Amino acid sequence: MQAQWRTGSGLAKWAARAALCAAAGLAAGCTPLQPVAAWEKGALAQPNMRFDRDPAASRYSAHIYDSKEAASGAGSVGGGGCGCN
Amino acid sequence: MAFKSDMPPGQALMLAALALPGLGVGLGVPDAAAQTLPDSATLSVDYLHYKDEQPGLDRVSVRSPAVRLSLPVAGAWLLEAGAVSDHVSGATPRYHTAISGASRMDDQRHAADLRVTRYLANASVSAGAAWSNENDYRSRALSLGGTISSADHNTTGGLSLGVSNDTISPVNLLVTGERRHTVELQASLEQVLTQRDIVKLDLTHAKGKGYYSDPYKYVDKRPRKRDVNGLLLRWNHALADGSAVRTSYRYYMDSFGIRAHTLGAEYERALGGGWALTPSLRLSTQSAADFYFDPVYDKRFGPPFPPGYTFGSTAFTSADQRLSGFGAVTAGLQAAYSFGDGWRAHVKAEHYRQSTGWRQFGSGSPGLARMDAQIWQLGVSKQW
Amino acid sequence: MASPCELLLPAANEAAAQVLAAPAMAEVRRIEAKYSRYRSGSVVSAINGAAGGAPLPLDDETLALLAYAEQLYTLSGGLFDITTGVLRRAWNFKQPRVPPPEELAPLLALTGWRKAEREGRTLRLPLAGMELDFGGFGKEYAADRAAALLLAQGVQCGYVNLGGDLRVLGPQPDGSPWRIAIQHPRQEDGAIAAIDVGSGALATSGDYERYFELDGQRYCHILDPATGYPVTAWRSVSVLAPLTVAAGASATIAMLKGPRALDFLAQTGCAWLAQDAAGELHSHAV
Repeated sequence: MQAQWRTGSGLAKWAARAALCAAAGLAAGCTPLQPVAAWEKGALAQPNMRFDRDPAASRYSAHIYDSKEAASGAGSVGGGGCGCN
Repeated sequence: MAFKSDMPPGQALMLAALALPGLGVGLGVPDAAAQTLPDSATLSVDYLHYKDEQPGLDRVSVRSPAVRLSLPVAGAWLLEAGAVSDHVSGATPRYHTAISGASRMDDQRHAADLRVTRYLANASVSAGAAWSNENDYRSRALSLGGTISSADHNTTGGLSLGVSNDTISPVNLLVTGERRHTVELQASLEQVLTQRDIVKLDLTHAKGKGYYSDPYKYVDKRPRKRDVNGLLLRWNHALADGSAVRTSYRYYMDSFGIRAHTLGAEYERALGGGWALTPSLRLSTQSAADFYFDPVYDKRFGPPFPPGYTFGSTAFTSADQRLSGFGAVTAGLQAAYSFGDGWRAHVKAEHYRQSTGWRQFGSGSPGLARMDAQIWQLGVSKQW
Repeated sequence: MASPCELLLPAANEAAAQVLAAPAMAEVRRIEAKYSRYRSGSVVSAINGAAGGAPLPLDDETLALLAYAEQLYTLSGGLFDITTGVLRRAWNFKQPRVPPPEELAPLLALTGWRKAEREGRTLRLPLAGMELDFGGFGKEYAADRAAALLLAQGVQCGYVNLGGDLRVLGPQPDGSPWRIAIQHPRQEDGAIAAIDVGSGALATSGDYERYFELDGQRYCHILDPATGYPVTAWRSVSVLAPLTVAAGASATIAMLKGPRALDFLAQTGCAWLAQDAAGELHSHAV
């Protein structure tokens, strides 16, 4: 079995597709909406609305899934590796 | 102060009011985007316990005490540091999910990471380093990143670059001083959609060169390069009662031929009296690596050799369960209690099951035993 | 300030509460002394005394408040005008007497924010007899300043109530919001609604604060700067906004806008409650 990999042009196609999906998704969500003013962000500032709600727990979970599944990362960069995978 | 004539009067009035002297102080206008300096420091200590098994074999057990510190300094800097110590013991199959001859281990891993971020009015710059040491594996990583926000902080873009170098010297001396070098690039976009919704998109591209084979598995030879592309989309939604729903979708694709989709959801709800409950669910599915082979063995040599195997062959091949096609589900529940004065404690229990029959978008790899894992987390944190 | 003022906050004991409240109370008194037109040593008295004379240099705080007044004038389409205080010489709300237009005309000639000459850090009222009146936002400003001082000391529950303009610092100690009653415009001991407020400000502008009634018609103290006669479309307007100055300005401007008040209130994005001249209640998000 040969490991097939997308060539440079294939990667470009992938990236373009991903960016288009993302842009369509964001545009569909954003453009018709009014910008949110600073004093309206009370709910968004709640601790349970943070993307890194529990940094220790998310690192640990990421480490477990990196070592038990093939897919890894995408949430952060430069975390280093370990011998478990 | 002049306004744009198309600004609605209500908004113009609020802006005018906020411009009055000494009123912004104490108003506590919150800034929801992550790109502002947190106003409090946090220290947390956690104890994590992981245990997995497959029918007929207790596998790996890991105990990890960990500590994490987040410290705002001088009103513009943030220092983040963490250290964890994994104590791994148990047995893992040497090929597929074969129980006999499973390799036993007792291993200790120490890791630490540090990140320094400088916050500016509408931007931030950060640098980080990470170290990880085991008796057979050493990793060093560095990263650099920056973000830039729109004036109203509703849109934030980020770019980061990471480099890591790993040195692998397995105790069985199959190879010595092997290396692995990875460069990662990540672009992110965070957008406030409504007063209650915020989304974040992260696109990652990584290129890795070096030793990827698993020296403790029989017959494992993997390509010396691995390119990865990932897309992570997250959406946090605040409900009217103060609870929050956090959802995520990740698409992963690499040059080993693996395609994976992961969906996650958490619902954090305060119950009153300082208690909060967070049930969570994670669903994932992945395709097998191109060079993964099913547990059908060569007629001449028997297991663990793949059909048509010749000694000294340079073909890529692996019987590692982690590279097979499967689906997995994690169900978890966390209970947290805030003592007041910044103290918080939490306990989380999760059950993970990995099964080839659960693979979506294709059939899972046949002939592999199901894997179950129990994950416990206990933590205490103080904010000041 | 002629109206009752109170600060409510939780503390371990009376002495601790006094320590927390003292700077806030001192700040309210300072603002009253500085901007009251009734006090001879106030900045407003100095400005009014210099009317028709030379430009008067002003301090940062006064300049900021004048800039705010300018913005309210623009936002309200000229209805919120701090030079209309002179009209009280024709309206004495203790006597039920409606002044004729000829009496108002010379006073109207002395009003008009656009007449005030603001240059650099100075202000000049060109005609002798012109007056500035900070009564339209002075109390609200004091409430917000007092609140800022309390919040800076870590007070997280309680409120500042200056004559009915309320700035809530935080909910009650058990987490439940303060239930605030809106005064009934026609019944002294009654309320038209009760609103739960966890934080932010609630300000009310009404035709019942200073008024007289003649021949079944009510004449209140909120005067239309164009005609010099009181507004009649609304009995009271209450607005909820993050700051008392914003809530108070919105409520007053809504009263002045008359029939167009609902459009204006909709644009503020705030929650509000209003009772019209017929006694019917209108509200949004309350």
